[in-house]
Amino acid sequence: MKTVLLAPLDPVHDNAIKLLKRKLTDAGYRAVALPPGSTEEEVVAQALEEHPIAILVSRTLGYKVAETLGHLVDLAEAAGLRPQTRLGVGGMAITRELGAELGFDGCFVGSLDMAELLGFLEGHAIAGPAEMAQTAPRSRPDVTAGFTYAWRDATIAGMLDQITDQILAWTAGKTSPAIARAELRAEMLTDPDPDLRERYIALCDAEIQAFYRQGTLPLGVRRLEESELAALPGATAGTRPPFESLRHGRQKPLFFVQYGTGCPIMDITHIRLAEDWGVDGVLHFDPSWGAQREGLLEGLLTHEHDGTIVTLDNLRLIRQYMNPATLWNVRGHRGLNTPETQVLAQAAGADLLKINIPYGSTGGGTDPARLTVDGVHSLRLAARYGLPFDIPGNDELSGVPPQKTFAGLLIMVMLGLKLGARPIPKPLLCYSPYMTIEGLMDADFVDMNFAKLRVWQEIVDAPVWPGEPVGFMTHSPERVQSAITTAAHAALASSAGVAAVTIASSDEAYSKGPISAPARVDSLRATRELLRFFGPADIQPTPRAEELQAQLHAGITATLNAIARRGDFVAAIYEGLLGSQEDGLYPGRTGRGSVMTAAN
Amino acid sequence: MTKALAHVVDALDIETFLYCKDEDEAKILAEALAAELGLPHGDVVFVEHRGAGARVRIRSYIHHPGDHYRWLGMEDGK
Amino acid sequence: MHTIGFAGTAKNTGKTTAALQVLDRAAEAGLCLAVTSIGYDGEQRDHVTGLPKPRYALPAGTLLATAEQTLPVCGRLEILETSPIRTILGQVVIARMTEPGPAALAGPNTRADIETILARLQALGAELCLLDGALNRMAPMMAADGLVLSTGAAFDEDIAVLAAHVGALAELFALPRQSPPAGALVTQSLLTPGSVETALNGLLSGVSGWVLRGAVSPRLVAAVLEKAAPALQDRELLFEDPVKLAVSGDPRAWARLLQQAHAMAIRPGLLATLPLRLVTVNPFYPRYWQRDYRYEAAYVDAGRLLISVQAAITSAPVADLIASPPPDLLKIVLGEYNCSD
Repeated sequence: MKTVLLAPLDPVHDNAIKLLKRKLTDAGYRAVALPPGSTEEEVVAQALEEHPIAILVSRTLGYKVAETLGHLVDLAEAAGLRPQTRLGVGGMAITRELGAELGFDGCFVGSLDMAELLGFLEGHAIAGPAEMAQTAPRSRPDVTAGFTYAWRDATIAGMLDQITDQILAWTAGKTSPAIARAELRAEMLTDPDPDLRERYIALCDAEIQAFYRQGTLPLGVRRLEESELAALPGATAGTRPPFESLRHGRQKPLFFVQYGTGCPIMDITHIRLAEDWGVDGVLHFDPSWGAQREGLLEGLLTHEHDGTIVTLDNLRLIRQYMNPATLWNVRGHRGLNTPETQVLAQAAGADLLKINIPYGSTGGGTDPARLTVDGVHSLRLAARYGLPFDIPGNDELSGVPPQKTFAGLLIMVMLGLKLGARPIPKPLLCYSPYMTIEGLMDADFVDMNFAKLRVWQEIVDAPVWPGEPVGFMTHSPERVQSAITTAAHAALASSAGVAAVTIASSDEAYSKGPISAPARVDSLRATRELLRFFGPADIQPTPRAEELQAQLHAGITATLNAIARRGDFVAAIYEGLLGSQEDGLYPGRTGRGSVMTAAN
Repeated sequence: MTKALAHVVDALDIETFLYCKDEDEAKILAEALAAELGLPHGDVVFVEHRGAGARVRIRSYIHHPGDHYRWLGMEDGK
Repeated sequence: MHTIGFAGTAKNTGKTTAALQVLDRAAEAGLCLAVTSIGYDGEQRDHVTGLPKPRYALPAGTLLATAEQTLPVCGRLEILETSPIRTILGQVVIARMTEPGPAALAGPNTRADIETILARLQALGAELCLLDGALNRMAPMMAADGLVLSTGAAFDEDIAVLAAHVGALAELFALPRQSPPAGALVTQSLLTPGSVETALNGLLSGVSGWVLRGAVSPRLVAAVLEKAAPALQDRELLFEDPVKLAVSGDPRAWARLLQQAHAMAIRPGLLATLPLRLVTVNPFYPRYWQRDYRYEAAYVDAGRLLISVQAAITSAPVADLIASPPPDLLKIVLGEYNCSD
C-alpha cells in the first residue's frame, strides 16, 4: 500500500488534513497525518522513515508562511527525498504561481478535487469531474422530454377541446399583415429576390418603411460598428470555466435567466456571465416599441433602452457567442410581429418559442382578434419547426386571479397540442395584486405557490416552467433581500419538481436602468447557495396548500366553463372572462381592425 | 473630505463586476478603482473570477473605531 | 558557461534586483546570456503584502528556460526546444528573446532538473546563466558555480540580528573543501534520534572521520559531539556542501557548533563548495499597518545596515546595489577577484 504523508504545518488547524486523510484512506492509500505544529524537520524526518510517495502540505498563506513552506521544500531536497517523494501544497490563498515559486510539484487551488489529487499522487493526469464536464460536450436538453401531455381531468379536457375547436374554426380563412410578412420573411431567408423585399416593406408601418427606404433608424437606435464587432472575438477569447450547474445533486430544474439590455454586445457579455455562473438557458426579451409596429428592422442594431431589437442579424450574433449547450428562448408572445418573430427565432437557432394569446392580447397590449389569428399561425410554425413553446402567465401581475390566468394557459396548451406543437405552461410564482388583496400569501409564500404548481399535475402531464421570473413582486431594490427571495422561490420550485425555472437578478425591482452584471451574479450565487443548503431535502407546504389547490382547480374549471359556454374565445377576452377590468386587465388595442380574410 | 462622505459611519463598499482576465488582475483593478475614486485604501473583500470577468466587493474604511467621527460632528477624522 | 545563483534569506531581500543589475552589466559586456529560475518570478505584486515587485526585462538574444504557462506574459521570443521537465506551470521550454522585452520565469525546481537545463543552455551557446532564486529557497543552488546572496530588513528589521545571521551564513560558504578520508563514517541525513544513535555507535567504534550527507540538524550534530567528541579529535567532520547546511539549520546554530568543533580540535569542512561571490543588503521591509490592514514600504538605516553586514562578513564583498552599486559588479560575481582585493 502506498503511503502519503499529510503535514498541516499550521500551529493549530488541521481540519483539511483530517479530511484528506479520510478521503485518501477511502481511496486505498495509507495516509499518515502529522499533528498541527509539526516542524519542517519533523516532516522530513518522518518522510525519511515512511518513504511516502508524496508529502501533502496544507496551510493558510500569511506573512512568513511562504518561507516556512519553501524551507520544507529545500529540506526535502537536501535530505534526498525528491524525486521519489512528490511534494504537493494546498490551502487558503495558495495560488499555482506561489506553488511554483515554492518549488512544489503540485498545487491544489480551491475546493478539493480528488481526481486531480489522485492523478498527482500517481504521477499522471486523471480527468476530474470538472475536466470531464468540460471535455464531454454538454447536450441541450429537451424541456418537454418525458411528458405525455395526457389529460388527467376529463372535464377540463372536454371544455378545452370545445374552446380550441371554436378558435381554430374562427381563425380559419383569416390572416393578417404579420402572417403575410412572416411568409415573405421565410422566403427572403433563402431567396434574395428584391420583389419579396418590396412586398414585405409594403406591409410595414411608415416608420419601418422609412428604415428600409431611407435608412432612417428609430430614435436612439444605432448600428453596431465594425470596430465593435471586430473586438468581440478577442474580448470573448480565452478559456471558459467548466460548467457548474446550479443544481446540487438533482437533475431538475433547468435554470434560465432573461436578457435584453438593448445592446447585443452587452447581452453577449451578460449571457456568457450567466453561463459561467451556471445557467442552462436564456430568454431574449425584445423592446415593447418593436411589438407595436408592423414590421421588423434588419441589421446589427443597438440602443440603450429595455429589450434588444429582434433582427435576424442581432439574433444570429447573440447565438454565435452563446455556449452551444445553452438553451435559447426568443420572446414573441405579443405585438404585431409574432409570426415573423418565430420565423427569425428558428432561423437564428432558437430552441424554444414563446406564444401566449390571452396574455399577449391583454397585458401585452395587442388586439385579441389580431393576436388570436397571429398566435394560431405562430403555433403552426412552432409545430412545423418542432420547437416547444412556452406560455408565460404574467397576466397575474395586473391583478388577474390565478384561476383565470391558468385557464388561459390551458387553452394555449390544448391549442398547441392540437396543432402538433409542444406547450410549456408558465404559472408565475408571484406576490401578485390578487394575492395581496385576498391575503392569500400573508402567512407565507410557500402554500399558494405549491398549490399553483401542483394543480397542474392534477390536470395534465405537462412540463411546468414557472417564470418570468419567479418571485415577481417579492423583490426590493435591496440586493441581499432580492437575491434571497429569488433563491427561495427557486428552491421551492425545485422542491415541487418543475422542469425549468426562470430566475431574476438582484436588480429585478430597480427600474431606472438595465439589469447589471453584478446583480446577475448575486442572484445566481444566492440560488446556488440555497440549493446547496437543501441538497436532496425538499421544502414542504402545510395542509393549507391542498385547500388552496382545490379552490384553484375549481376556479379554473369554472372559468373554462364560462368561456366554453360563451362559445367565442375572442369575445371572451374582450368581455373579461380571462381577466376583467375589475381584475386590472384590459383588452389590447394594437392592431385592432387589422385581421384580414385570406385571399383564395 | 466631502461632506457626504463624512456621513459614512464606517465603511463604503463598491459592489461591481470587472472585465478582467484573472483574479490577480481583478484585485489590481479593484484597488485601482478605489484609488481613482479617491477612496482611502481600498481592500478587496470578495473576488470571484469566472470567464470574462470577476464579481468584486471593494471596501474602504472612512471611519475606524477610535477615530473622531465626522458624522458625530467632530472636526478631525483621525 | 558560468552559472551564478541568486538567493535570498527571505522574500523581498533584493535578489531579483541583484540579478537584474548583473544582467545589465553582462549585456553591456556582450555576453550571451541565459536566465532561468528555481521557482517563479513574474508576479506584479507580492501575494501577501500586495506591494509591487521588480520584473525581468531581457535583452534580445537572451536564452530563457521557463514553463510554458508563463509564455503569454513574456515578450516576443522563439521557442527552441521543449524539455521533458514538468512544473506546476507546465513543461519547461527553452526559448530565445527575439526582441527586448519582459519575461516571467518559472524554471525547474530541483537541482537535477536544473543541471539538465543548464547543459542545454550551454549547448545553445550561453556564456553566462543567471539562476534566479525564489523566496529563501536555496537547495538547488549547488547547480551554480557561484552565489550572490541577498539579505535585508525583510528578513529581520533588527540590523544586529540580520547581520549576525548573514555573517554566520557566509561562514558556512567559507568552510574549506576536503576529500573524505578512507574509513570515515558516512551518515545519510541526521534528523532523527534513531540516526543519532546509529551515528554514535559508528563513531565510538573507531573512525577516521565523519561524513554527513543530506539534511543535517545542527542540534543533533551537537548532541553527537557531546558524547563522541574524543572519537573525532584531530579528525575531519565533513558536510556535503554549504547549501545543505544552510537549509538544514539556522546558520547561527551552525556557527556555535563550528566554534565548539574547533575548540574540540575537530576539523570541519565540505565535500563540495559553492563560492559566495557577493552579499547584497536591502534596507526595505514591508511594514504592516493594523489600522488599515495593509502593508507599506518601510526602510531601516541603509548606511548602518551596510556597515554592520560588512563587519560581520570577511569572506565575501558586501554591497548595497541601490545606494552604491560597485562599478565592477560583473567581475565580482564572476569571481575575478579575491575578497582581499
